[in-house]
Amino acid sequence: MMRFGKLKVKQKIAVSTAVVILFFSLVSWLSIQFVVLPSLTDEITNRGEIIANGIALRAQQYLTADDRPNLLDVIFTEKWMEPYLAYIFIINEVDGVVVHTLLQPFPQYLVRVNPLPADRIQHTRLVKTSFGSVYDTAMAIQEESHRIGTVRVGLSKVLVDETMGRLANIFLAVLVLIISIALVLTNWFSRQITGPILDLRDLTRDLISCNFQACGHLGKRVECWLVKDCSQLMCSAYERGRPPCWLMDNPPPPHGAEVNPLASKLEECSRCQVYKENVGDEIEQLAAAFCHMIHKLDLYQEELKLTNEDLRKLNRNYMEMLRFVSHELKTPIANSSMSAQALLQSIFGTLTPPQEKMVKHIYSNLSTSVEMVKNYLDLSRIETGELLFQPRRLHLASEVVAPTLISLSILITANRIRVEDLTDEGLVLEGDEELLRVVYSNLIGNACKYGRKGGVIRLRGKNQGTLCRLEVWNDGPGIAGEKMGQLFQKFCRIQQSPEGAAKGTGLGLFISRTIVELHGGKIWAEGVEGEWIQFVIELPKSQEGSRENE
Amino acid sequence: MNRKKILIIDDDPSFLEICSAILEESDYHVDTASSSKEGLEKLVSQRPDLVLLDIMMATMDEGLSFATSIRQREDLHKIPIMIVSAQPDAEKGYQRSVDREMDWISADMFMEKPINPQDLLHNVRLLIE
Amino acid sequence: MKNSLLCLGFLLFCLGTGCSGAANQEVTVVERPGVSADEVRLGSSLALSGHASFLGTQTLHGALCYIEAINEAGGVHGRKIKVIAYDDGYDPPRCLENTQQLIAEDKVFALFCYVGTPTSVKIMPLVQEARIPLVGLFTGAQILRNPFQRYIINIRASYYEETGAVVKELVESLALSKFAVFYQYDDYGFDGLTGTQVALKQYGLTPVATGSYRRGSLEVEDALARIIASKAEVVIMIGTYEPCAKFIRLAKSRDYEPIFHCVSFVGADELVKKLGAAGEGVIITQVVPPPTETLLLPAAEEYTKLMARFFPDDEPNFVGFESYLNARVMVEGLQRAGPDLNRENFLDAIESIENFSLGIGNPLTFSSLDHQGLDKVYFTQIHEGRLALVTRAAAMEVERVRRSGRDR
Repeated sequence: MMRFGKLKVKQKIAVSTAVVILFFSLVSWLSIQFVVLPSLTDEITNRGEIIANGIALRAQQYLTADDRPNLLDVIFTEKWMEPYLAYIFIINEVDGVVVHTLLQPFPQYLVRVNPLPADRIQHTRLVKTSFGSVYDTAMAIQEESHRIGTVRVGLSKVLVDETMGRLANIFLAVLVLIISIALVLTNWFSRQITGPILDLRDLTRDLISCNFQACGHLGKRVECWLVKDCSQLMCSAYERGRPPCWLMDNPPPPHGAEVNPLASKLEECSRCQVYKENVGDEIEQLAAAFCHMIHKLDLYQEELKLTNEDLRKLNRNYMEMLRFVSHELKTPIANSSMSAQALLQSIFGTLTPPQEKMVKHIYSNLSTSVEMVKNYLDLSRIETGELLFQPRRLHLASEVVAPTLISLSILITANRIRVEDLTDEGLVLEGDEELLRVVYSNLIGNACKYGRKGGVIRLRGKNQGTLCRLEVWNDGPGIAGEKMGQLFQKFCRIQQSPEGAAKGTGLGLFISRTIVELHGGKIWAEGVEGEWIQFVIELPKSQEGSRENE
Repeated sequence: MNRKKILIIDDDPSFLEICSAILEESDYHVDTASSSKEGLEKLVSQRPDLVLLDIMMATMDEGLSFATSIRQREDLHKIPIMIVSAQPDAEKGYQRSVDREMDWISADMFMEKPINPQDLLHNVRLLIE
Repeated sequence: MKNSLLCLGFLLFCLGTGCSGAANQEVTVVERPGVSADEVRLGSSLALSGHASFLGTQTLHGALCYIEAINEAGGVHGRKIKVIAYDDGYDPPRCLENTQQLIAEDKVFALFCYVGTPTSVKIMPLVQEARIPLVGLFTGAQILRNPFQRYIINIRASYYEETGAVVKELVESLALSKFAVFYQYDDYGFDGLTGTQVALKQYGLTPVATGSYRRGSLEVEDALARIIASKAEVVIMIGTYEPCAKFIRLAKSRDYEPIFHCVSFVGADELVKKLGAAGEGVIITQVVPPPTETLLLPAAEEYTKLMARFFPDDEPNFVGFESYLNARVMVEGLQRAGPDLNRENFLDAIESIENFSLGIGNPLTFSSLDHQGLDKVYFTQIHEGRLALVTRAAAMEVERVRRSGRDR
């Protein structure tokens, strides 16, 4: 049964047809057996009776006269005219054998195998004799309604067997012929079915390989006038009498006809009565619909291309803007910052307290700006893929943490934060010093900005097997639980306090996470709302495999 | 006069003024150039004691290659060079070249903008002495 | 397609087994019927009574005289030949009955000395069915010779040959063209008639008249009238001695004197007796030479001697002589078949006879395709109440005699 499933449609149809034919032939053979066989038997029985009757009529006079020679003549003549006659014999009213056609002493048992009852004129029965199976007919020889003897005619069953044999041969020959013809016909028919299906399959394959142009034809010329609404009488399609549709045939449209897009034309066609009548069977309709779909997809694809183009342009603009911000903006801010710092550092003389205060403001705002610009610069580098990741062996405490603390010292003191640096002095790992400094700068900066004023920042860093675990803890209001998940997203800005606006660029944690992931590590936040928040980083100690190819 | 001479080469005029102001307050003689061409001329004619060089001027690596070419010149290669840049990557690039032991690249120091004036003065003093 | 081929193969296989052959027809009989260590039984059904009794009796006596002599000398390969003969009165149904008896009950080895066309033809299917040899028939019917039958051994020439010879002789030597045929209305007569027609056709001729009589009857008048009316020059007669004798006498009494010709079956000797003086000039073709030629033919001499010994009341005659020759052939066949005798090798033995001299100046030849031993036709003519052998040249003499007879 499973193997049947593996056959092709054509073969399935052929096998089914053969099975059906065989079934019907079996049925008809059985009915032949039950109809023909009995009728053949009847025929033989009849023949036996006819022969016996003829003999009985002719033998009557001779039997009365006990004229054995002529009786013999009668039965032998009959015997020689009829093939398959095993025997003929005549018995008298006392069952004595008068004459017989055997060339051997007459076997007496033969008399008894088919006795004719007194009330019957004739009787035929199939008996087994030494001559094989024989249809024995007993026919009474009457003289004025009085039985004077009986004719016994034995027709060999071989006749039936031979006839059945011949019948079987004819039957089988016809069967073979029928099956052969049927196979040829079903082969042809199924090809009519599988043809369009295979076309459909090819269309599907074209679709899969996005070859939208391949659907050029449907194999069926459909002629429909309605859609076109063309009044151009000189058009060759119009000439041909039947309303034609140039569209389906793909010739150039006649002059004056509107050139509608193919897809919408096909839609109209599918509603057109003439089209529906001519489009062919269900499979061909399916193929036509398929082609329609492919045409539509082609259009969509064109649209998509355009949209894609737009998006790319948009992206380029965005990148361009980022780049501008990061590079062009940085320069004037850096200059201003430098100037302000120089003033604060009394290089150009001491400032009066109010002047100093004011310059401090300038500097502090500029620092914020610098930081924001730095973030955008980093984002730009990440977006364009320019972020250089150059890991090398470094001491975290001295090369990353300490310098960052120093660079943020003003911010720290401004917020009266107490920093506890508990980073292991000997903690060594492979990483990009500059990028890690960015991370620390961001985290510590966030701690300063969003932590409790006058609070504590606790930095930890230690080995943990193949990893380093770094922690930045600070006390403060922390983050609401449901907002924890959004922390590391681009442009995520947390509103710390009900009175304050959201601060910062919202990029810091995103950049930090990108950098941590670049190192092959993980970063996440823990905390209790209203009490503390802690950022944990796990970094692999070694960067084998991620070193830049030099 | 025994004032040390410093040459600053940068295409940002604002930066030039600020830097000059800061350095002159510390009693350095500062000269400026806003292109590598001008810078080279002044290098040759003035023989400063230190060169401050922006890594990116008209093009990306112009500063670096300028530094390289200075170093390659017999008459100029003794002058200490400090490179300043607005991009942190430049430091990386510098670091990379050092790691590669390409001794035709060089600067003696690298600083990232915005520059802390105190740090600047400190580094300049280091290089000049 | 593999499936289709499998189906086809299966069906063809069915076809093959469906072809059932025919079943065996008959139960095969005993291998060596009629043969025992000291005896071989032959069976015969012939006209020992009735209007053809002369033919039957003389056939039987002619054969028996030789067979008795052989038995006296010890038989063939130590077996004595026993002939079981039944009378059928020249009646085909009786012949049928007798033959069935001989085959089924008496279980004879072979059938022998059958007389007459209708009787012999009647039992032909029995011979086929029983596969029993039938040797030496006193009839020249074509159907016994053609189509060829394995089990029937003819010795005498056929009626076709007899009529052919006489037609040829009369047409070529005497330029006669008007032939009539008088025949017995049965297979014998039809056969002779056909033979004559075939012979005449060679010369582009047909019989100008035909007339028949019923076997066993003497109703020849209608035929006579028709033939007289046709003014035929020759009357070929296919009949037995009584009706033919009557025909000739009547014809002559009406002054109708064509050349009368009878075939050998007529029973020449009886015909001569019956005709008396009216028989003058009647030609009778024979298939054996005259037994009276004892000086010329060793066979005639022996026949005459044996008849004198065993059947002294009979005169040697053509019929008996022919039968004697048949018996010679039978014994030769038994002899050649050897001690291990059965029907098949007996027939093979007969077929092996080639150019065997019977002592009649006419060699006997059989083959696997030729079951007629002799081919020669002899002309005899009734002359002064006796049968005399005539040759071709003497055909002229026939004319002369005839004309002289008329003139007289």
